[in-house]
Amino acid sequence: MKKIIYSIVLLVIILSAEYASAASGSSSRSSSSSGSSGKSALFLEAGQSFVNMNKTTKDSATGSSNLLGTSQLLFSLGAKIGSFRPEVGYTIIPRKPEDKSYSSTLMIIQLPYLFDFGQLSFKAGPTYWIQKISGEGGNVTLSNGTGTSTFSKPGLSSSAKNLGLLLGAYYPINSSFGIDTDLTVLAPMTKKRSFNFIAQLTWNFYDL
Amino acid sequence: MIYKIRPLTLLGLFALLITGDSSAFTISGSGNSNIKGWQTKELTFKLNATNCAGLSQAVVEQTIADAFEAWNNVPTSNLKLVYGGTTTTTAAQAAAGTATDYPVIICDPAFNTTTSQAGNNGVTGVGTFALNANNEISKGYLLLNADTGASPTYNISTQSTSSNSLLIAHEVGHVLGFGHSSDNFALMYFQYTASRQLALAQDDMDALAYLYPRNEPSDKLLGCGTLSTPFSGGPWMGMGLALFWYLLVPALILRSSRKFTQVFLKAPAQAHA
Repeated sequence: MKKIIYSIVLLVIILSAEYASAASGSSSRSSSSSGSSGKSALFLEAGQSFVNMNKTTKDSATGSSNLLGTSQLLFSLGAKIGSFRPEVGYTIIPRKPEDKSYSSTLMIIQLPYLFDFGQLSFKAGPTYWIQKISGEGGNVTLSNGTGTSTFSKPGLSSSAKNLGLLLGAYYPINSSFGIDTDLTVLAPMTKKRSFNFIAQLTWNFYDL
Repeated sequence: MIYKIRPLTLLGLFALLITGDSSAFTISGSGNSNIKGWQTKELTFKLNATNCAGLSQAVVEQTIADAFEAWNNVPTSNLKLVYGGTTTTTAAQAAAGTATDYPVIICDPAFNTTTSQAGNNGVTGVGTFALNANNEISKGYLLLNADTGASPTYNISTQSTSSNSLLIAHEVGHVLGFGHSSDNFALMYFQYTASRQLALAQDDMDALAYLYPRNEPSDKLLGCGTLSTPFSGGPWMGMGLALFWYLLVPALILRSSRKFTQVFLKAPAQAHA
């Protein structure tokens, strides 16, 4: 209950400050078009996604956590439209185990709102993650306690869909290229929550 | 200020971060790759702790809780494991398919006989399941080695609490439908060291997401409905607070900070052609 009260109080304080700022005729809205990212454009991005940071095991002996999580190349296509930056990303090269018994791909759809802050633009908004795991079936023989056993490889296709919250930043290197970073929280309201980081190089290839 | 960084150099650095992955989860049993898992989002395990080789029920329950927490830690899965109290179901009933409580965890004082183990061979637990006509898991049980017979070296009372948590977490994986993994980082690898911490590898998470995928928005949005934070109000309240804390507050603070910059700091210089 205290959290709810604190949230309401904080919201009232911030909105009051915003109202006062607007009433004095010095709204900062005009600055949104003065930043380097104010220009609308289509862009392509390439970089790395780091999933489940500090959540998975990296050492079979100690079980210690893998700070960077699981990484995968991510390519994205998006548009900067006004203060929004919708974007669709996909891991074109699937993640596969050595025996290629299954493949895992990730599609990410983002709709963040941009806040220009000088050269830097911060992003906040919803994001939708679709992890698809597909297997071709078959059998494999593995150790099983005192001997070996035959197990089945996954033979179906399954998609896990998560709505997450995105915070990020974009920094322009020059008029055509920039660096885009995202921190996404999946299942934020539960103990299941995971932190995921994306770092990509952006190419603004077409001005709108 | 514009930094002179070559874009292709950056792309090369990103590409260098590509990592290999050796994970390879499997499905328990051979010749059936199309198993569909338990058809529930909340799987309640019962416990028969009548004879746990000297371990108290409270200790076993805590061990089970630790094991469940590991599996309940995967954001891409909608499955939640729950402990549902005790039962009198025996190993024989569970194996015969006549038990009323499935899935069930049973301390088995005749473990070596029940599972046809040689006795002192290092096996401390067994997990298994049965399918219905739709290829869905409908029954499953986990036997813990509580055998105090001639060779009791590997019964659960001789193992540390952390080892027993690992054991139960691994065997629960079998009850969920997973076979062994060839990834020695994985919880479902056939063997573990005593020093290992209880945690899932990416391979285990992939396995759980494969058989028990989360499906938002059909499932509770943003994971709400299983709130871990100490307030009540249901999923809508949770979602509202999530939006508030994660979106609205940062957005408004950032928006306000622009005014702060304009007033107290010099406005950023504009780039000119």
